[in-house]
Amino acid sequence: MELPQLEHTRLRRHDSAASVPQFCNSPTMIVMVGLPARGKTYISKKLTRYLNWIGVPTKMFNVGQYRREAVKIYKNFEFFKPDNEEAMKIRKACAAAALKDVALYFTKEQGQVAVFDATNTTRERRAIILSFAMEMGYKVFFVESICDDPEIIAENIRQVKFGSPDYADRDIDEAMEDFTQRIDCYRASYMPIDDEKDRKLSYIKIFDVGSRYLVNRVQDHIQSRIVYYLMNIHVTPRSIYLSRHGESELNLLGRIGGDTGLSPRGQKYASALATFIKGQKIIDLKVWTSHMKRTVQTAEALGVQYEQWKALNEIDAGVCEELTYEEIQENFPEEFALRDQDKYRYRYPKGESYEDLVHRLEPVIMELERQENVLVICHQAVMRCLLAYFLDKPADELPYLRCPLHTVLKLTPIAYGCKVESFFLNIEAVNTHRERPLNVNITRNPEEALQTVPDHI
Amino acid sequence: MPRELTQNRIQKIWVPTKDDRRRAGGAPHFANPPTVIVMVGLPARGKTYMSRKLTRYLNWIGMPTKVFNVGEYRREAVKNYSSYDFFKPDNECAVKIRQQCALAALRDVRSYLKDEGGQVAVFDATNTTRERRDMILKFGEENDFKIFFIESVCDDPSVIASNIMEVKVSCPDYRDCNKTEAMLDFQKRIECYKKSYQPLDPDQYDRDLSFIKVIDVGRRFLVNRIQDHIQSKIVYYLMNIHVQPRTIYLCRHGESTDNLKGRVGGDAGLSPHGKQFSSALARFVEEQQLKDLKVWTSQLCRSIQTAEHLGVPYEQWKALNEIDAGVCEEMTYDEVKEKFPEEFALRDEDKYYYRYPAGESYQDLVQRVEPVIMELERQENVLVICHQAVMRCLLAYFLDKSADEMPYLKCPLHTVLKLTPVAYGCKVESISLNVEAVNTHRERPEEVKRGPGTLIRRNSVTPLTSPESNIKKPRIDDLDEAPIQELPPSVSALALCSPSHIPLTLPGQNLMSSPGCHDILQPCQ
Repeated sequence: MELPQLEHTRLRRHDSAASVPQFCNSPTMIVMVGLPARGKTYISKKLTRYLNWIGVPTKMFNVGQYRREAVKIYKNFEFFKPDNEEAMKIRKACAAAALKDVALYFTKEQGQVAVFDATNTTRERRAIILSFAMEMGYKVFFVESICDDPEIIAENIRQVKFGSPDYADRDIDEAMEDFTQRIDCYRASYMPIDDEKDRKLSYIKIFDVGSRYLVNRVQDHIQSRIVYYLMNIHVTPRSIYLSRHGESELNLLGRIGGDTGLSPRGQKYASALATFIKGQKIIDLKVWTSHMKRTVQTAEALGVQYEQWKALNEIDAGVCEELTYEEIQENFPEEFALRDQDKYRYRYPKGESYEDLVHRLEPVIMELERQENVLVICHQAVMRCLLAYFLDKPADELPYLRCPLHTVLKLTPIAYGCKVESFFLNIEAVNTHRERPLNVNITRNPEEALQTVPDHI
Repeated sequence: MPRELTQNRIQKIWVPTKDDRRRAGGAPHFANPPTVIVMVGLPARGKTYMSRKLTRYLNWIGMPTKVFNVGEYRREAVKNYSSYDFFKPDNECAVKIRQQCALAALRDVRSYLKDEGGQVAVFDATNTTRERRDMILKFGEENDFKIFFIESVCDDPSVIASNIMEVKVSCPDYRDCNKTEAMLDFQKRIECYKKSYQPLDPDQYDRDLSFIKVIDVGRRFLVNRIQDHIQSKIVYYLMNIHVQPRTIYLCRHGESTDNLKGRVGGDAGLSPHGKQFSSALARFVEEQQLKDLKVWTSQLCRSIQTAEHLGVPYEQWKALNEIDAGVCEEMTYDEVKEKFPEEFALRDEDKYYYRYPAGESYQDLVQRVEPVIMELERQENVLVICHQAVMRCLLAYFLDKSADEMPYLKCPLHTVLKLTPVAYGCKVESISLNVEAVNTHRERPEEVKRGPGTLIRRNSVTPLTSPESNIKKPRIDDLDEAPIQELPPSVSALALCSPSHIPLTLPGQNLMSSPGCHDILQPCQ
């Protein structure tokens, strides 16, 4: 039987053209469980960010936000009293509305995972969710956060509750008092997931911010990844520094890829980086580089131990390695245009795509989550991927994030996100950032293609 | 002044010139203090199964690991096992011997981790009492080893019985018994341990320890205080493995047009013989009558084309792509020899660590392929259609082959390897689908060309177990050497054991007498 010749399917989008098989079949609902101020929203947001970054379309549904929509002004904790029937009706309606939106997300928006962020502290509420999911054919995975350390609770309240719209015009003590009473409203009716009664459910219980976990009946690949991720994250304050290698000889020539050493200005940057790092007075800083000469040389200037990761190597430009953009336009004009059409998914012939990079970098992200203070000396495309993870940038923005040479980005987790500080270390370098040109058609002429190429020798 | 960098010739890793010969890993080396993994659980709970599997996995990802099975030390010390009476808690002499065996094993652990370059030691014994575990914790503290416990808890009688049938009934202890006798004796052996069993207590006594409790063969896990990267990976691995019977089929794509020309790498399509193989593969798969077979390919044309012939859905993994030969892509070996003679020689020198310029090494491949292995562990029946070097990596994982052997494993075209987990290892059947193909294997004797016969040859290979550990005899005559822990004075009042206390329950069998039972060791299970 003669089969049709298989075209290279790099650019045709099938489900299986991503670098890693998509292992989700039925959509999955992740259902958070726990008293207020136990980190449910923190976990929900982080998990959502991670899953989206690895290519699993995920969305968070925070029932509190639905409530704020329904009840424009929050008065005080009395809203949450179990005997407040009026409020109970509203809260139930909000949960139902959120579930409806979950269904819409799965059916109309091709979502794969929905994170249902609410207290879900009663068996009754969880039963409603389970029967909804069963009816619709969704898998359910519970994430329960259990914590009784008053210091941690107080810190959580300080970090995120004071900034909440509910407490916009209260002072700190009032807010703290009110919130504490709010928690008490839930406490009486809180029924944690029961290891006996709920033994058929799939769940993870997180105790004391990750000191202990109880995992029950992981059903599939995505749940296994979620559990692994949750077991690796922590909340200890720390900073992650991202930087590219110092300017390289090929950078000066406007050539991409390759494995050259630093230019004289690049060497200067390496020394400046050493000074900067010392000035930051970081305890126990880990330094990571790629296997490429230019990052290793940069790290050498620091005079401290560093670890090399092949996974941090720059994107492989395949047949375009060491070419200038002008040469790419000349030799591969169609490829050049295709790349501009979909820079995230575009794979260089015999090379990689940003999408491939993300999968290559996932173990780095996982280890970054485990670590505390780390300086990562890497490359433009790699840094864009890492930055997109920390700043929750979607795939279409990722390949255009600005990561100039000789600039250190300091990322510090705060509240639900990440603070970014940018430090240009005052050593001149070429610009290597190429914006998306206006015309991305394969019929465009060379000037249009090269419109946004930065200057070089 | 920053140090001069050189790219080391085999691995192509940039290192300070003075450090040239250092052998670096593809990823950072994350285990700093060595780790002792301590198994905990009643007999027949899968401790040895997990020990071996974990050891195989850790070694494969490049973490030198070794199992120390105290039962093996005991079999060395006590040549003939008579019956479960040996395990009775009141059998003082046996208790002493067992204690000595544990201590000898710990001594070997120490020497493996301190002097032999080991990173992880798996201490495989019941370790069911707090006393024993406290002793091990102290040992860890004294030597700066991290301790991580893996407890297996299971009370399902059918699982236990099945375990006993799989691995105990055929173990050396029962070589002269029939299955029923063995089963009965073993169950009584388990009873001996039950009374003194103190499971890990996460709420009180053991709340500061690092451990994972595996409950009911992986239905549930309790994980406490993971300290570092390697413990996190171990937990992830344990949570992904299962014991459902299943089969993994490994094969390469059908012969490609590049194969015919003797070119490496590239992205060519199938040759006519390759297409023939694909059809034969489709027939073979149908014959196997598997339920729910998953089919995985790489993202290279030849692998996908092969799968297309099966007419079933398949998943593509970029991670299964063939090793990147960098500057040597699409060359024949002769061309490589001609253009890059030094590289050619270096590769033969150290084929596992050798990285093609601008390409990859087998070591890189292992890292790349690791997520595939993890998912293979989760899955049940899978057919993986990949490439020579990749298949060698996967095979080395399943068959516990060392880095040294991996690049030379035989993975010929048009041959399916059928892997079935059995006991502690993996049964391999090599099935040639009888379609001609070129030989792409270097440095081995030329394979005999297959004739056009219609029979499919099957070669079964006996179950493979982990390499035999070098069991040093428990040094019972070395009791003058200071024991690992100080003895409390009250214990010294115990009577010395004498051979007459050793029960002789079966005729013709005699336990080795213990001439040197001088020192009193703390009574412990």
